Amino acid sequence: MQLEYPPIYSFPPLYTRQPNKIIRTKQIESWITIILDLASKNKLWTISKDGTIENSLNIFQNNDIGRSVPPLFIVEIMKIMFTNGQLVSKSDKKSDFDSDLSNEFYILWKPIESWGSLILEWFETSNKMNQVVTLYELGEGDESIGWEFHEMPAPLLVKSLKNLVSRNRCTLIKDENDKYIAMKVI
Amino acid sequence: MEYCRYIETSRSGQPTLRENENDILIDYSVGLYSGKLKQLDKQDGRVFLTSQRLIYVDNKLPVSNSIFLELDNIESIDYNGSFLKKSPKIIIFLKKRNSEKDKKTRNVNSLWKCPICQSDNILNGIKLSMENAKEQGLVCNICGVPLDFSLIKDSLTYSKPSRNSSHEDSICPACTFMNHPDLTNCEICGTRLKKQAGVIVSDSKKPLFIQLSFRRSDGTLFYQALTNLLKEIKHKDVFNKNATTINGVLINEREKEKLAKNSNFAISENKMDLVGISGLEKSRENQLLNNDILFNNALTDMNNLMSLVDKIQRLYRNKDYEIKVKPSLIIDREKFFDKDYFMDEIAREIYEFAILEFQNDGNVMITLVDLYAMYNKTMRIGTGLISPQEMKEACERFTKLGLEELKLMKINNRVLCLSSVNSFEVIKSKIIKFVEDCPGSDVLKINQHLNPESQANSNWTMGVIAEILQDCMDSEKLVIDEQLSGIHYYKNNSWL
Repeated sequence: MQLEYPPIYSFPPLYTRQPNKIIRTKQIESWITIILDLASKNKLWTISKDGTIENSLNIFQNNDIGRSVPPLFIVEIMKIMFTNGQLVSKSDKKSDFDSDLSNEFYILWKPIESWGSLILEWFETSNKMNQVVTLYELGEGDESIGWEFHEMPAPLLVKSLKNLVSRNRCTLIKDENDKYIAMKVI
Repeated sequence: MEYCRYIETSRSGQPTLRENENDILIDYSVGLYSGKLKQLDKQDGRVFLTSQRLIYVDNKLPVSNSIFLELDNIESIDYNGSFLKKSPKIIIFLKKRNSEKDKKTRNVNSLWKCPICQSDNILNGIKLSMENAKEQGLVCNICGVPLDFSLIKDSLTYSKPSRNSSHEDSICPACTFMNHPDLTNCEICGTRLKKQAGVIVSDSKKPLFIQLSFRRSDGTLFYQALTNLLKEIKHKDVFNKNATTINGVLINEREKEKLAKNSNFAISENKMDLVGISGLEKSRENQLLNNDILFNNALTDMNNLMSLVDKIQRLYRNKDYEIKVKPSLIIDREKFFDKDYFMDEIAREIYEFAILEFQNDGNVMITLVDLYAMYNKTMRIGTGLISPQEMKEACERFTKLGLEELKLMKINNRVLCLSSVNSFEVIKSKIIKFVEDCPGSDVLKINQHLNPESQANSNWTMGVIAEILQDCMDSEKLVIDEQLSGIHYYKNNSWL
């Protein structure tokens, strides 16, 4: 996977936890920007607790300049992303960062509400209102190509739709295995 | 005060002593009187008694208002105790020298041209005039014709004597160095030259004395010390009078003879002693004695050689090494009867030391820890070390003593530093500039940059550099990259 990084990615002090608190806050912001930009540009959805994106690339390791972020600092960064709502747990249960057992997170480069609104917009523009649409159609169907949520993993789609449910604009339909399969947007 | 001379003092207000001069006693809050007249600008100062001089250093204006008096100008001293509001005084009567007159005549040479043979004649020490020309009964050196004043008066010129006459006085009695005739002390070894002591006065009728008025102490100690010293000085005249050898070389012919006599004594013995066992013993003794002499000579030669070697080495090493002048005042705890005064003196010494040792381009910055170690190691060995507490106290006294150039400051809220006013910012900007030019530098590199080997007088210590780096990070100027190899510093451009 050939990815493009911003110039700051090869700045060695980025990989050391800065002792000055103010600088450190900005340093972590830099990290978050790098991760979110990378994810949104390349449609990457998951990151593990140790920073491996889509099970293949560890973002916190830069072999070009021989630097890597120490594990404790990775946890610190991830925690902040989690509290910012930029990471969301894979499991359905609501939990905090430390007690989360799934070890993997979805990367939300948009807040979950924005995803919901975006999906709503799609429904409106493609005249699917008051129709039953399957999850597959929404996420991988031809009609959603070009939309940002195209190729979004199904569980994450469900999470976004649940946001719509709470806004009373959507009903989710389950199949016989108690799995979400389709929805209807009003 | 015209019979006192101006003395050079260091910036911290300590007098610069001569070679071989050492200080004996210091007293505080002393005012000066010339005769009975109060010297208004010299009312608050310290008085140093040294082995050669009495030095007054003014507290307010140490550089311009400090003076000294040679001890051998003192005729006698007297002590006047305190009475009601009058503070105790030491009265110092000065020796008078009324040499203006004989100087005048001696100082002129007359030069006249013989009207017969046109040769120049010089008459030393006499000012030739109409009156004394006859009495002298002068004749021309070349042709022997008696002098006729009316004939030579056109050619008569007076001139200052050549230096010859005063040279005798300018030769140092201790080291034989020929000094400039104006000097009163030998330039090399500091010995007082054999000039007439005493101050020259125009009006010899007036009693000549100065008074030291002690405002705080009662001055008795000082009086005693001065009395003893004056007595001592009277007995001692030449600096190394009783020395027999210098650098292992006999300096006195007499000593050599004595040694030779000793050896001769053993050799020239009775013929009768050569017989029998006693004779054998004698010859054996002789042999040992001779060996001794031989050895002695050999050692002397060796000494000579070694001293030469020393000299050559010193010459070689000092080629471009600048010797720093150090205050030669010895501050001994025991000399002070008050801890407060001791601390004041220590403070002055530390101030001077810090400026001399740690100045880089006019900036001083040193952590107190480093300064403490350096100061104790270089200045206090043999005179009693000072404690860290005393060091800190002394540094806190700078402002009180009017030493404004250095300040005690706390950097990063934890390390006490002695620094000149803006040195912190100067060195900080230097470091930031360097890190900007060479990103990824570690402490070692920064140190090497700040203290290049070619620049021997540059010495920012590691402690100071570390503290400044810390400050740079606290103020978001630098960021770090921590690796196994150490901490590398980068300019913070990204996270401002």
